[in-house]
Amino acid sequence: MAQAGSFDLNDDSVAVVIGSGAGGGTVASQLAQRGINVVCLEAGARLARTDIVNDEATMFPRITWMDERIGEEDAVKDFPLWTCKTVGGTTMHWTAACPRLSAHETRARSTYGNVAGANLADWPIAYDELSAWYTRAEQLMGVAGTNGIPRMPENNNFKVLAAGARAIGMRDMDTNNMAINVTPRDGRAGCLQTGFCTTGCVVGAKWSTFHAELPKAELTGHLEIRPQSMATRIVTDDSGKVTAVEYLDAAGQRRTQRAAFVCVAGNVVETARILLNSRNDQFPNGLANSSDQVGRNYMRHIYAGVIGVMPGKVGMYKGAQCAGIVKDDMRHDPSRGFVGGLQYHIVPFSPSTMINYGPTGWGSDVADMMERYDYMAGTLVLGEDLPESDNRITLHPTRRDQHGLPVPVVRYKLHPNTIAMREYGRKRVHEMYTALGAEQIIDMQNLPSTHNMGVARMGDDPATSVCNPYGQTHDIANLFVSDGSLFPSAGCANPTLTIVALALRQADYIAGQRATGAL
Amino acid sequence: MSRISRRGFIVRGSIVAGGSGMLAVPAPVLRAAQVAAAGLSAGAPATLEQIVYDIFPHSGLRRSVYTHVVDTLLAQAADDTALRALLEQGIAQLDAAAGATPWRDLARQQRLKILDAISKDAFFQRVRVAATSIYGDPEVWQRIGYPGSSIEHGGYLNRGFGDIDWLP
Ligand SMILES: Cc1cc2nc3c(=O)[nH]c(=O)nc-3n(C[C@H](O)[C@H](O)[C@H](O)COP(=O)(O)OP(=O)(O)OC[C@H]3O[C@@H](n4cnc5c(N)ncnc54)[C@H](O)[C@@H]3O)c2cc1C
Ligand code: SF4
Repeated sequence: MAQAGSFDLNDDSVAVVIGSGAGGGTVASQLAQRGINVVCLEAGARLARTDIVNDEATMFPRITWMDERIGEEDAVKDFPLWTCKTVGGTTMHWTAACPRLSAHETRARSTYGNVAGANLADWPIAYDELSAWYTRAEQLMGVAGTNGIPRMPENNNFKVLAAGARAIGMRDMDTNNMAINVTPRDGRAGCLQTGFCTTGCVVGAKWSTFHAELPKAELTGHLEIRPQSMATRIVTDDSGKVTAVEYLDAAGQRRTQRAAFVCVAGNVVETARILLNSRNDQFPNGLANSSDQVGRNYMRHIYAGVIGVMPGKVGMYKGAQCAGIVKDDMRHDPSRGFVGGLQYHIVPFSPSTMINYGPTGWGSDVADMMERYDYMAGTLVLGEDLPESDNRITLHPTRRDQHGLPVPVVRYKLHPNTIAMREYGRKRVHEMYTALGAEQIIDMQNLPSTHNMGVARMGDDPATSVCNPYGQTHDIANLFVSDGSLFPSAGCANPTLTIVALALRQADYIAGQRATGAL
Repeated sequence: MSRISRRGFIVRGSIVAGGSGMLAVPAPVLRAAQVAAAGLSAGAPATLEQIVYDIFPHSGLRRSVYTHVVDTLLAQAADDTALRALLEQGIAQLDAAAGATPWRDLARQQRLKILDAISKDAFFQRVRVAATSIYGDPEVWQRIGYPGSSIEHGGYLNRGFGDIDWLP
């Protein structure tokens, strides 16, 4: 029987992938399936399937990244990001919404022009080519609503949003493209509509690298996943090539894994941190940072949660969390007072999340509102934010985390365009729920970032970008970035489908480079 | 900027994680030990419980829903001197504002007036963070209409999925 690979620390023929989430898990799996030996270093532990339960509060401490991060400006102060630290990364938490970027969103600079304060850029990949990779990613992930795969059924929360949107004249809505099996597929079960996909999906119907890509790749014998292995530094030699990755194992022992090449997919903040922190005499500003763009242009989308207390029961908790979208406002229409577009997708909040992110008050008003939990409908306004040079990840000069690494500082300030878009979007959702007779509407507070992009943008010019269009760093040929860090602009689509599409494309490119001996 | 904090998340996590273990010890025993360990006055738990109730008042629930919040807070205060001081000072401040009677013995309207005056303070905000944990309690879920984990019942696929009936 095939079994997972196991490779020696001194084996310098292996690829090292840092992170096992959407980007890292996919690239590791694809390389292994092409016969390339891969060591995947994952900071988090590996759960057994039986460790997954259908309760957010129990799962939260089990899978969440809790290491210190500092938020500045408009980032949430001491919890600026909501990501995972576990085998499978944030695909454990994610809610599997998989829209594609629109063509105009990949040409942000050309479409939006010169927006003051923004560092806009076009994607260095033709949209037709990206589309072909989208198709492959959708097929890999089994995205319901694409490529002839049937859509998810309509849950109550979506029915409310759709009715509200129609009531104010919107027309373009469906149960969203979702990386969730409606019926069994690819060795995984069909969705039972348990609700709260953020718990990791007990059923395994939701695509995650944990349930889908990693087990598949392990069967090839070419993938070794090392959980509880925190990469601390990427090592280069005199010729400026990457030779190894240093990490701390489960016991806190320092280890060095030699490598032929390295793919970094730590989910943006961690990707920037390790590149910056790996600075040495030859690369004093951090690896792959001759452009000074590493850590810059951090994007996170705008999120505005809106809850409507409706006149009848909804039960927003019943069913796949985000299977519902209204797309009318995704277009670019500067007459609304901002560039770029936004989407409305359903989102239920658990009672705990509701109280943590919802009303700031107290007393019988709040308690009475909470007693209407069953009557609540929830929507997330999700819109494009713009890359800005000073929205960036830096290393704290003195603060160190439990590994002795500099604590990452996430500075994020809302651009006026973003604020205008957010207010517009909120207002629209208020109109939708009001049109249906909502008794009360609650604006949720600033949420920690769940989508992270930018910080190692790809482009054709090494002076203004960190990576080439394949995620290969301009400065170091055997160093790749394999996560949302590559995005030159954010669009208003949830990022993961695009991360997976780019990872598939990168794996293909790497295999080609290996075949010609270039890598 | 935002009230949401990593601390809030961690507190929430630890309540859930610690909850079932703590229930094994008879509450009054635990309570006395904690009050002693936390170095607070004997009346502190009752006062804290009243505050927690006044923050999120749901009538007719078992008292244990609210006592549990206080137990957890006291357990944390036992090895957190800053928290202990915060609680001690906060309670003293409430009682001082109440005058001759302890704050918790005042009539509801008077209690709320005094609470409102300190509702921006660190003490109140800290107790509020603790109080939010009641919304992770299955007894409260039942009351507000959240059934909790559904996998035991096969999810909602064949059980009320998409059953909304009042939309236009
Ligand atoms: C609640 C929630 C809902 C979401 N819903 C959606 C959705 O509906 N649609 C969508 O498109 N996106 C969604 N997302 C976002 C999605 O999860 C991310 O876009 C995606 O997981 C990012 O992939 P990644 O590989 O970059 O990072 P991750 O999936 O976060 O994986 C990174 C991994 O790297 C590990 N790591 C980091 N640093 C190191 C290191 N130094 N050494 C070793 N390992 C390291 C981490 O532990 C982690 O496991 C959601 C996110 C959240 C939190
Ligand atoms: S709703 Fe479906 S996809 Fe989501 S956790 Fe439940 S079974 Fe999994």
